[in-house]
Amino acid sequence: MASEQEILAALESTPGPDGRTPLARSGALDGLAVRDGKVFLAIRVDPARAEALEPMRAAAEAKIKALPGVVAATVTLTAESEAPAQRGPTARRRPPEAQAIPGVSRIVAVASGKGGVGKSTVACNLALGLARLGLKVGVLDADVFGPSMPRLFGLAEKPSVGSDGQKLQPLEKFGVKLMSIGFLVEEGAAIVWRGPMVASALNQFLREVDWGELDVLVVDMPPGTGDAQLTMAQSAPLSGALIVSTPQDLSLIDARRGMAMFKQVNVPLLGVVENMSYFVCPHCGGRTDIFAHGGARREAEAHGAPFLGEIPLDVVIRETSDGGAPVVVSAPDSPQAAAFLAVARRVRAALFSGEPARAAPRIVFE
Amino acid sequence: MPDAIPDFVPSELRVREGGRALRVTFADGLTAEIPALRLRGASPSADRRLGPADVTIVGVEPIGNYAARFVFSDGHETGIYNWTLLRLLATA
Repeated sequence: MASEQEILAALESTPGPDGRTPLARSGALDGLAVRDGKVFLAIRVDPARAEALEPMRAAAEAKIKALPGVVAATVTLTAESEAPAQRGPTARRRPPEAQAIPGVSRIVAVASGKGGVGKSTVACNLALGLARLGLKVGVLDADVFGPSMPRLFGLAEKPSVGSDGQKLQPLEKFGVKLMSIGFLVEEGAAIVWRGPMVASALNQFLREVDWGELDVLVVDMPPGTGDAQLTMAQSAPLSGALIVSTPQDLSLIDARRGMAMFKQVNVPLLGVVENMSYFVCPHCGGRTDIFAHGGARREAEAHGAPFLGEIPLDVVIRETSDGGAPVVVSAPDSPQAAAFLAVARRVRAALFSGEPARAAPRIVFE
Repeated sequence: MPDAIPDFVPSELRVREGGRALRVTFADGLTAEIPALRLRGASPSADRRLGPADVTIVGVEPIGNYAARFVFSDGHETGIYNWTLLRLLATA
């Protein structure tokens, strides 16, 4: 086991911050500790020179690591903070924050990677499908720049603040609770915001809306892999993500990125939905695969993700979407509604049966 | 910055010795103590300012499914440490 003397001796030949005086005699060493063969050392430096002194830090670390009996070495550069800061164990202590939203059992992100694949239509009909299966459902429209839920649900009211003056009351329609930036601004108004404002709005939608008791909160994500996605992944423990794609290669490439992103932030992939899967002509009944067919299923298989179902490209779906009466509600026994209901059943199974959700780490302050 | 990997999810993050050390227990049973100084020095934040030698951990917040944020006594709180980074610090 290396002793302090041996370590200091090893640092005789390493110049300290002034480039000449050996580290051991430079007076800059702070907090040398040896624990089970692991050596920890701090070197006090002028903060402005931190980058320039990185080679010195690395050299000291390598020197110590090379000593017999040293299992690992960590040399850290330190500096006194410029601003007065809280010091010592009596400093501000934050209680471990639970991130879960009280009352909300599962949070599902509906994402796509690519825009224009029908993600919001799928999210809205999925939510209504889950409600039809008996679940208590909310929809959070996280697409701050292009909110779709007001149009899809045919709603133009402004949400009110609760009697306690604290929380925004979600709107309710067709048995689901809703919140969208679109309820707070005129249709057609452009929201021109930078990232931090988006993050702030999404956090408010998560925590300052009176969602009550929900089995599932469906989050309609904006396209891409940007601020909104990162905010969602960081601000709440997402139970899973569902990727919507058309069968077309161009859309699949972005779907792949969406899946990779959720993997990076440890959000389970509930599966892939192939939207605009095929077109059946209302006149002759002939089928045309306008955007190809089956690509999303192959992509899901390639990733080991479940395939949740095909939704055809259908004029009825589009008309009911634009008309504010989504097909699951306006034509509940139609084949179109059945397609969405099949997806909802698989999502419910993925969320509520099988393995219990991964628990968050226990956080303890001794 | 390493990607978060599900197998490295900690089952417990325990702040000890008045904030001078973090004991991490991983789901696979591996346990390790990381001194606050080392944790602070390894902050992945874009804020590269150095911390003081007597820095302690004063807060821990979960970040989604994949990371934790540590609040340090010098006010540094912008580092988001994903589970893979904690595993690296615990085993290296």
